Amino acid sequence: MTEETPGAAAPPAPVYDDETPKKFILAAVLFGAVGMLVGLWAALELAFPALNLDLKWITFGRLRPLHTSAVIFAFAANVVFAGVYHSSQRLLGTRTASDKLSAIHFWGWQLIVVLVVITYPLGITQGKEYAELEWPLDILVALVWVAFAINFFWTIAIRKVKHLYVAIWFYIATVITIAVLHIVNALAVPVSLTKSYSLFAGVQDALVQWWYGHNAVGFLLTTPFLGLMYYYLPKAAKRPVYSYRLSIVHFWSLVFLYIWAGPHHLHYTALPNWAQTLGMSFSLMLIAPSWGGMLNGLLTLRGAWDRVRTDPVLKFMVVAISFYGMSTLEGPIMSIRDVNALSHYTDWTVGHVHSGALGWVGMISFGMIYWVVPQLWKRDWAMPSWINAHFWLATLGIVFYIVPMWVGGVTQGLMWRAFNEFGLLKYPDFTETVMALQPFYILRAVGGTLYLVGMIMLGINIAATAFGKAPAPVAAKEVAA
Amino acid sequence: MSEKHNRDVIIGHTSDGIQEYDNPMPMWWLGILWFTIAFSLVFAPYLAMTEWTQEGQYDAEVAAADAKYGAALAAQKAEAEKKLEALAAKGGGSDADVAAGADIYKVNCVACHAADGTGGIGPDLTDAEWIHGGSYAEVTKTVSTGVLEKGMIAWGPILGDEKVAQVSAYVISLSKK
Repeated sequence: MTEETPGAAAPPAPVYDDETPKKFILAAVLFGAVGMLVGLWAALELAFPALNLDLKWITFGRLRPLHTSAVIFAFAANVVFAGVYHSSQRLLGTRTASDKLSAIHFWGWQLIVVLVVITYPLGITQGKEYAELEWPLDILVALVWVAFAINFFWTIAIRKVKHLYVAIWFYIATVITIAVLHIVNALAVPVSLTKSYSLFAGVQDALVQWWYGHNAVGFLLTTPFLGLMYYYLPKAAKRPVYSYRLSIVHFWSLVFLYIWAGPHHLHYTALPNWAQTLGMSFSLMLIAPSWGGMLNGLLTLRGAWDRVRTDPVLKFMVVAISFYGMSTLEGPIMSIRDVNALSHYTDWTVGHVHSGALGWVGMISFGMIYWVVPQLWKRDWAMPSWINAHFWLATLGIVFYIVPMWVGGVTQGLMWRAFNEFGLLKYPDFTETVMALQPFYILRAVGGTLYLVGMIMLGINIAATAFGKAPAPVAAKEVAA
Repeated sequence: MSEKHNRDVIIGHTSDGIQEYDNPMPMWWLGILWFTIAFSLVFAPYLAMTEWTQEGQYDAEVAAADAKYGAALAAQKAEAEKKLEALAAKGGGSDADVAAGADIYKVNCVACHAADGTGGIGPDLTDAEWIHGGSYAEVTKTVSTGVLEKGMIAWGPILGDEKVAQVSAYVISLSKK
């Protein structure tokens, strides 16, 4: 009774647009590798400051936003677009509504990425974390995103399948919320082509920024990837989703609660106490909705655990879901004000972000890519053994990244609050705490290197598969049934 | 299949071949959901009405630190001032003090006062003007206790009295060049 039994005879397959997801995947892997390389260089600059080579364009302050924007908007977002275009067509039983809008979306988005790579090193920035783009780029992002939204909702409107699968709900939440977040946070008064001032001032600006920043994590790195999980995990595992009910409850509780949690980024600031408490409360309430996604993912694998040991796609996904569960518990704990007093401004935060970014976003993306590329290109992987190597490099890389950041972050937090016998700061010189962190920064760079090498192996593997000779007909075609 | 437990029943629709069970939500998971919601509904208003604010926490920590360190800190201050007075009575530093002070200056002072002492964030030390007094006693006091409202750090606790005396001797030597 649990085996897959496609009910009615499948209708004649409509011709789906597979070129758009293909292009998005290639862009994601290319820009992802570049973004991670920039991140590694920035990490090495922290350990060895001379590596900025005295060039202002590659100082840490300019490389770091380039790294975060590249991996979020050029890697993660491109993965999301690839998955949304690939899976929505199949879940809705129809080709994407407009090829023109798909092309505008793809080329417009890559144009934004290129402009970011040019403007950030030049120092053209609004100085808002994850929203450094200056106003002309902000407008471009809004236009391209609206093109995506029109195309997406138009496709839903002309769908051949009545029921909207849970993955589609998560995509809808993403498309709507990101538009609102981006447009409100980007409101600014331009004074020249490359300079503008936020419409908000003081603590209100900070609150809007972290309402945006927190929910960029929520609605660009969480909800769309949960949508991808709900499509690609049951596909790869060939198992039914564990609980429809759980998916409804955790979806609605997640999207409702997430949007309020931003103030936890502003503990012990000019933000009023009640707003800090609100942010903390909503963060704690987010534990269960987040874990609902983890549970539905892991429980879907019941009866397929033997295959998890051998199937690299499932391995990537299981590690991804595990890191999702871990970082969505760690986050609420860090949002408790007294814990935050220790963790805030330390590298613990950086470690937390990367357990979500490398562990959840990265690994679920790799799982999806390794499953979908043979489907899209109708070819087997050119170097299948590299997939397993990539898995272990990435997993080890994450461990080498996160553990030093935990230890180093707590060390630094404790040093900042240490007093001597006269009640004076034990380490009054900030440099002392930085020197204490150097070994951890070096270890972190080792972890980042492992992760980057895996990413490059993925890139070579895709290039060899997609553009190499001898298109062997894919053996795993039945997977797509 | 057992109707009673309603386990692993496939719901009616299929999405691109993906089926879904209509399994119940795990009880412990629902427990966490309801507990955190109930906790927040009670706890957040409670916090809003108590002293668990950042100002309250700060006041409590300062009071606790005063009680714990107050006496030791006052004794240390008194002793430091005595030492500085003794140094001032001596009338200044030797050449060896000036040379040692130059090294201390390079490490700690250049960020604000510049390598040649002409200032930047902090005032120019090479001109003839002394904002807080140019005698040996006055300079050591400025270095030692700082001018916090203008951003000058109290270097006494960081450097210790001997190094304060040495770097003060160097600073005075700068203005004579």
